[in-house]
Amino acid sequence: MNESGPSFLKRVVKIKNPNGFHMRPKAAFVEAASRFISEVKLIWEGQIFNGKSMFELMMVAAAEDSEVTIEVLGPDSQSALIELEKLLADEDVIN
Amino acid sequence: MEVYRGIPVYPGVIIGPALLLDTEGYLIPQRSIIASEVQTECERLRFAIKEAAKEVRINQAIIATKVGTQYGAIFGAHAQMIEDLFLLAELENLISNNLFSAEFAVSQIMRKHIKELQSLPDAHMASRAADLFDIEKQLLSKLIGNRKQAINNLNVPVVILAHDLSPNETAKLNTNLVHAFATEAGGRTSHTSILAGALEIPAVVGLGKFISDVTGGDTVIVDGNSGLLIINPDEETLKRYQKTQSEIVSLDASLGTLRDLPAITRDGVEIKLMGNIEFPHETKHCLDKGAEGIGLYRTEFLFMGKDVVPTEEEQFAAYKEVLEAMGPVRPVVIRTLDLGGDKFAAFSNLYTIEKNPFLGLRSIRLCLRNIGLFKTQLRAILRASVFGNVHLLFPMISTVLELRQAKMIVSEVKEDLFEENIPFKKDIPIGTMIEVPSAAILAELMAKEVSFFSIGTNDLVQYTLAADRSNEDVASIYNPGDPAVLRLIEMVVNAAKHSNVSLNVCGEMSGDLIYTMLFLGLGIRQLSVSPHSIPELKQFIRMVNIKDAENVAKEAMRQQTARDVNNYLREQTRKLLPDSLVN
Repeated sequence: MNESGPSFLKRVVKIKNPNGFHMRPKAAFVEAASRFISEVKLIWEGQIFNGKSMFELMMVAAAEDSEVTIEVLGPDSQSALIELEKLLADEDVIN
Repeated sequence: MEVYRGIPVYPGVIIGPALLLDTEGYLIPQRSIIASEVQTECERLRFAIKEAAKEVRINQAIIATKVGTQYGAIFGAHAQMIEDLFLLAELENLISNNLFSAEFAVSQIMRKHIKELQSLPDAHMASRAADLFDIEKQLLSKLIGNRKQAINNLNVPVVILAHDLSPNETAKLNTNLVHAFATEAGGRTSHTSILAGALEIPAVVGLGKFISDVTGGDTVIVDGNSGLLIINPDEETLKRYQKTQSEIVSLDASLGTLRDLPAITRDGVEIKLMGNIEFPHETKHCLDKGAEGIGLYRTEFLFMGKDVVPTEEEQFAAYKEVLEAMGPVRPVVIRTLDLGGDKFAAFSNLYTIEKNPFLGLRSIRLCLRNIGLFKTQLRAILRASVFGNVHLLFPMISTVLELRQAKMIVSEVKEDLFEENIPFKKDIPIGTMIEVPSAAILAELMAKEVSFFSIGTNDLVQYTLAADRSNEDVASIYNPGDPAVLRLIEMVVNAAKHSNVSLNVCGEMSGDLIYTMLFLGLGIRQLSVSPHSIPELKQFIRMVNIKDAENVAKEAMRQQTARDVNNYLREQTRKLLPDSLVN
């Protein structure tokens, strides 16, 4: 849709929220992911979840300091990755 | 087809559509559609999703301003789930490919996700299942709209399935439409189970987790004889149970012919069989089954499911109804309020939260602390006394002093009535429950205060063995056949004999055939049981010889463990009843 064309990016992120990746951070994650055109996947314990589906993310039980992988594929993958990573790694954004 | 095994609490077999009480409270009206309806069904679904999400977002705003943004955010997450496009795709797939109705598709998909969540090891995640149940409810309420069928508003017969039913909820069930129930939680002697007996509908409790395997409207079988719940039975099972249903009808008819025969042993000893009731309308059932009286009227059920304490007039009307129904001769033992423990009425201002409610302010203790409440009940009973043969029974007496206090209050109420020129019977027999070990140990002293005893086996077992009857982890310690329980019962029987007070046994144990010979052999001549147990018990008593029963009792008293006692008694019972379902 813009100049760069589809690109695939992935990053391992440590969950910083002291309560783990629970409902409210998940809601924020889905909301943010849905603003991007790129496909967003979240990988936890070897399982792949759709990052734009609250239903799928329900099944993720990642505690504080555990690691998840974010994968983005699409024209705006770079900005998507930056924003989503910030959400997971920032303990203050949403508690 | 899924089969779950639980604890049977009321016999009979019912086949019917499931109504899930905890989660939906909705009955899904229609489960499939025809191909030409796919389009409109998907539109209905999308509309329902939009409406449900709108409602949740409104709640989010309200909660956010009331208690803070972070609480509102939970609703935001709910709205996101409701509007999840992947969920929509899954649902539309079921509608177009499987021709499911929108309601059925929602219920199926939610159950699938709930099951996945519950299978996660993380307890916190499993509790998220509650969120999904919530979302399911919101979507169904939008889809079913005015056709929603709350429990109070049923119009087709159903089988109620729930995680648990409180005694209050159970008391409110409309038995014209609720034909059976089954719960995940509960034990044989929990009060919900006792109520199932009062409602006279087949019931199975303690089934373990099954709610996420069933959808409203599924055909289920509740087998109250064997304690089974069968979800979506196959053709063969269904046929077998339909046959069982018709057999039960004919067995009931054959036991019915016993009604007018006396409960008399082969060697001519007469046993009095009385009925336990919770509600006045059960007197009819007692008479139909051949009860010689009401051995235990549990009046607390008059108080449960109510927002305010019933007035003297309301109570008077209930007691009068029972007494008139039973006539001038048949005894009616009215037990005063036994609230507390697991029986909580809605008007909880009477209680404070206790750390250990079964050892706390319950039953007669509660009454002696709330004299006004107690006197109101006693006035109602005394006023009703002129309509029949009433006996007054105090529950949970643990000391002689308590018993004297309770009697003193009866005297005061009598004086008041006398001064007000209100008629009442002056000589109604007063008795005490023996259900606390201290009362059993002091039975000789208690006997000087009263004219009859009633052994309440449920509490006596619980207090003797210090095991909570509704806690499944210690339920195996709670055993009526325990030698300690039997010795206490023997003490009470002997004390009653020496002091010439009459003796009754009530509680679940009195209706369990494996203990009948033991009781008769110990010298017990009156049993009070759920009315539905009377015919079978009577049939059995008519096969017993007292001499044999005495030998059985002697041998049972020699056993050292509950297991030995029960095995021995079961074996002896089977000798007389080879074909029966003695369990």
